[in-house]
Amino acid sequence: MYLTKPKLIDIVSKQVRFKLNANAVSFSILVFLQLLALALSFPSMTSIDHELDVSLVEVSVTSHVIFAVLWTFFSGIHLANCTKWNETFTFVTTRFTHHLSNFFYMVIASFIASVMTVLASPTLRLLTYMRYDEIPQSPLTIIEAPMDFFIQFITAFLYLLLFFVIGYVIQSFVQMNGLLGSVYLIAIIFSLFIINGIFGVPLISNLVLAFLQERSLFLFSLKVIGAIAVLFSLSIWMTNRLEVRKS
Amino acid sequence: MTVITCQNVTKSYRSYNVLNDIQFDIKENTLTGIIGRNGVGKTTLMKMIAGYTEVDAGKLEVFSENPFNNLIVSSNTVFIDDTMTFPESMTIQDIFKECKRFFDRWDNQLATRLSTYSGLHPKTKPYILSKGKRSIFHAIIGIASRSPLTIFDEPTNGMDAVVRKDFYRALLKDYIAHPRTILLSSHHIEEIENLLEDVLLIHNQTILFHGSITDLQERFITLMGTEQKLGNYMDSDDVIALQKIDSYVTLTMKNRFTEQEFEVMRENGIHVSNVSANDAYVALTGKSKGGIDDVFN
Repeated sequence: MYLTKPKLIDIVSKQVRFKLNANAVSFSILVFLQLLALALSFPSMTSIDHELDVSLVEVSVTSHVIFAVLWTFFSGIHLANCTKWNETFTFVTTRFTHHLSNFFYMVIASFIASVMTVLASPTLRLLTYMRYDEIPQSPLTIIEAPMDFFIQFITAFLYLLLFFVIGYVIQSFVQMNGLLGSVYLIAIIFSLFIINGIFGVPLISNLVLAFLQERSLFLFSLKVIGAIAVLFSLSIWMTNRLEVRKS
Repeated sequence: MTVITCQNVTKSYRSYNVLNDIQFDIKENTLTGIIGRNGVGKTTLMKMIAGYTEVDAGKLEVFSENPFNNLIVSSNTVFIDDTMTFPESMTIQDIFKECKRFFDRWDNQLATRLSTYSGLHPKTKPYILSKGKRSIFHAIIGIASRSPLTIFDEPTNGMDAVVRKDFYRALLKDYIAHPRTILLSSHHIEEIENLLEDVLLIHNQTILFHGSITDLQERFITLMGTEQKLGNYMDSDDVIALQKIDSYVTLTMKNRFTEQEFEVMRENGIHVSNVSANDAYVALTGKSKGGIDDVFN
């Protein structure tokens, strides 16, 4: 009997392609959110001194960042849900190749989201120029400071990938434990606050500050990659025995 | 060559024991019916074979490999049931494209012809199809994938009688042209008995019978006649099923009779007939006493 002898890399690449096709709507949502953020952040001129005729045009990409973070987080939840799990098993897969292809999908999606987020700033500057004939001052232009632009991109990419994986691991946890999953999750988060309250150990804030206060790009990257590796391994471990098409 | 080897396999869901110490082998290129009453573990068994769920104890091998989390088994197996899901954004055409990439033996022409015949428009999204049409779509994937191990778990759910007949015919024609190992479970055993080569009958958490359809049928015999004429046989321990309408009795019995004994029965006005596979299945899995008739008596 002739049997197909698949290569892991072939199956993973086929799955990544399948997931990109299957989640095309998700990318449309990202584009919509970025356009919405653009509309919300559309530069408006504020007059600050009438006598000297000085006006201020403020350009901010905060909405773009917030929307991108929310998109990656909820996309992570969506990607690890039961329906997506069963969809993959309609075709050729194992639990491991499913997770691996999901990871590559998340890398691609985070890359696209971070490019869009980082390009929001020059887009807004261009819009300001078109609207007011003024170019807002910014230390971060790709021509004047390409390295800063690169750092901005890497930081955005790593943060977005981290939020993607956080959403993914939360949904994996819920999927493993069924309805009780959400209860367990709330209990875990609640217990962290209790530890903080009783023992004065601010675990959550320490953890968040460890990322926010990091000034070295190398150390920051290491921390985020480490966190992603831990969370993603946890997700694989939790669902490695999970049933498919559970009735 | 043996495609599936199952040795002392046990599977439970929490405290509920679904399959207990089951053993069987399934040879290459056979069409085997998995039959049994509701909830006996047919789906569980097929899901274990496809690697969708893990065995609790015992040894299960598919293509000489443990099917759980196994890429070789997954690449050579397709599992069709009514809970299959596809991305909502994808059309039938898109899904066929994915099938072509994933299944090495996928016959896209056949899939397209079958879907056209079944009235499935290529631009339709499967989630908007009716239950019957969705089952047809799933069945097309099962047939056209031509996987060395093709598993159909009650594929005709929701299909009307005409479509069911077409499906079985399409499956048989493709199976003859491209032999492979097929497992097929169905509640309509009378519809598939002419299709199957072997039967794997699951009952009370174990394999009650595994063999050819003919062997299954030859295990039993049906005797029909008046109560007076069949009186001697009615109290026998070999009686599997007894149906009585007024004084006319139909007995399904274990076949331990010789040809001479059949001749005597016929001379005495007892009608002797072979049982259908369905009757044999009902006889093996039903109750001789305490059946539905007793509710009305």
